[in-house]
Amino acid sequence: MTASRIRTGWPSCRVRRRGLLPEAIRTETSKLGILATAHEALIGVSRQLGRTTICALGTTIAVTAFVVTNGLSASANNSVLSTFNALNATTVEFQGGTSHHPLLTQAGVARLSKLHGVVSAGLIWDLDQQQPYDVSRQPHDSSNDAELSFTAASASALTTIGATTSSGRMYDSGADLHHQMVALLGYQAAQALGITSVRGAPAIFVDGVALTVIGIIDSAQQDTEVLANVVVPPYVASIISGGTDERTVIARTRAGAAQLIGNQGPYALDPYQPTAIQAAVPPSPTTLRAQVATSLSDLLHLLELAGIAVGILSIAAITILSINQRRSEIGLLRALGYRRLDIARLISLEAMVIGLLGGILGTSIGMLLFVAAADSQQWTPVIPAGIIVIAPVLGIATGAVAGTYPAFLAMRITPMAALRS
Amino acid sequence: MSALAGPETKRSLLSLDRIGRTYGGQPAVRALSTASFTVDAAEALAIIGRSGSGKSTLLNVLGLLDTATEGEYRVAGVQVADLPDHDRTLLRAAFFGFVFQQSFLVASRTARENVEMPLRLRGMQRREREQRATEALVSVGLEGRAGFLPRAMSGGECQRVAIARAIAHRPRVLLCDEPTGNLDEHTARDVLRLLFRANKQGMTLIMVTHDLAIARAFPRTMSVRDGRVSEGADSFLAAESLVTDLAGSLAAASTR
Repeated sequence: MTASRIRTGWPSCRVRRRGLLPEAIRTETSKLGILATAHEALIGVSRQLGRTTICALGTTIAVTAFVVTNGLSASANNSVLSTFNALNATTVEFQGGTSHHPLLTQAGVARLSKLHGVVSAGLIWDLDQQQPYDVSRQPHDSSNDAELSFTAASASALTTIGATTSSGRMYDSGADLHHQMVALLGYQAAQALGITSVRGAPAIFVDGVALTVIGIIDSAQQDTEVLANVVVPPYVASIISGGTDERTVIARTRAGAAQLIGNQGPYALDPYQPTAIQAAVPPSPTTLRAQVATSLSDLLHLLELAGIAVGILSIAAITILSINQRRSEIGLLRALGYRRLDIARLISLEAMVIGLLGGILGTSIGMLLFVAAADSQQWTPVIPAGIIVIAPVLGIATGAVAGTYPAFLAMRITPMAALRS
Repeated sequence: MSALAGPETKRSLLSLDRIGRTYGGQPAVRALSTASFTVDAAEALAIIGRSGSGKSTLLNVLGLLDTATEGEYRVAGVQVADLPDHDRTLLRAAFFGFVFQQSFLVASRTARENVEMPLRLRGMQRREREQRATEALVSVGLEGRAGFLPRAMSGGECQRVAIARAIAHRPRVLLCDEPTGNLDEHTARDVLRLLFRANKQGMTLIMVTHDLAIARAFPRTMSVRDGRVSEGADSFLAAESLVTDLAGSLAAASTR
């Protein structure tokens, strides 16, 4: 029985004993330090540029996707949320009453406007549920008719929805008081009627009623439907449709006051029947932010995961191929005295260096693409600061994962088999 | 039981006692059987045998690239079979230098970097490493090729770099497996001269060859035939004369 074979009940159970090798021999050869291995890996990677480039390509794509998706996600959130914060999150709508007994009146709106937190408020509603009217530019001449819907809006409602004119002006509260027969055209409606300017006070005719066009609305942040409609003061609306439509009051509040105004508004609009008025309040900004952020990021993160999988697979596949090509090299290193662990570490570090290169390259390309994409969407490019650090680290991690199996394969190569091949 | 052997084996650098190597499989192949001999420090030994005789297996066992399946092998008194793979690797790195038929230079490394490889395992500082590598390259007459990649050198030069790599860390034993097999006669003579010079400086030289002319240059020869090792070249010569006779009779038959 040799010193190593101890009878333990198991056949050929070899007990590993330390100290069989004289200390002088043990210390003669030192371990290949991590820095020395890293240096070897760097040389190996830098001298095989073709293989390194192809190998790093997958990681480059993965990290590019990571940077672009994160950047776009952050920028989109920023952009979308700022829009929501500015408009939707500060807008409250009130509805209520019946056709014959409208609860929402100018007097109610005046009371609502005095509430602390209300920036502006006004009456606005669609005539005949957006049923179009025949509108013409000449009386008794239906050859140039255009079918257009009408929106009734008080002067303060126009301010509330953020309407602006490209030609002419808005009507003011005097138009309603003095029963002026005026109208504004959304720019699409103006195009349909062939009106490009209000110079010369063009008139339009609807059901025999003549209206003077005093302005063309070119934008309305809060209610883009009006761009296709004819907008008239409430008095004109009552003449055209009989004033039986369900009305809406739209109010713009200060940031964070929407919930409060939603509660107080019905009492101001009609103190006698506040419960008959429903307030449509935007969701709390915090909830909204979370919802938007989640829905946008989920899809993008899926893309990132797919990209990283591609990166791992590409490094792993090419490294496995190269291990087969480098069998004799690995066998020689083993013959020279490299331990199995040294070989595994060398292969892993090579994969990690390739991953890092892919990571740095991917971060650079990703930043360029992302800034270009954000610019094309007119978004402010916003990127979390950590991404610049995380992206190359992600490359290293990709390399580390990808290098594990090839390192295991390389570790198992025996010097004799490799040198014989 | 002490790891170090008794005084009689301690004198010998390498000691083989009934060493055998059988490769598993169907059927199992016994490549080496009951080899028993010793090699002293600074000895020069040629192992001669025909292809497939088991001489390379013997060299692999001697160099700890392979493990014997029977018998005891001691390197400087250390029982090799007792050692785990890790310690066997350390012993191999400390005691042995290898020169193979192919140079096995790492293609992506320059001549100097190839020579530096075993030195890295000695934890040497860069300057010392470079100095030792340069010395080794000077000794093989290739100091001018230090920065060359293997593809920019001839076969003979590559083999000389391989010798420089094998001797740079000053191993006790230089194991050579047909190191001149791929070289022309002139280059082969240069390579042999380098190897003998290393031997004169105290390195034990063991060379496997099938070339009788090379074996005759060594003070001690062993033959391997069908896995059996014997002292002297007689068994090899007997086999060779048999082949020569057979070849002669075949040639005579064809001219008749």
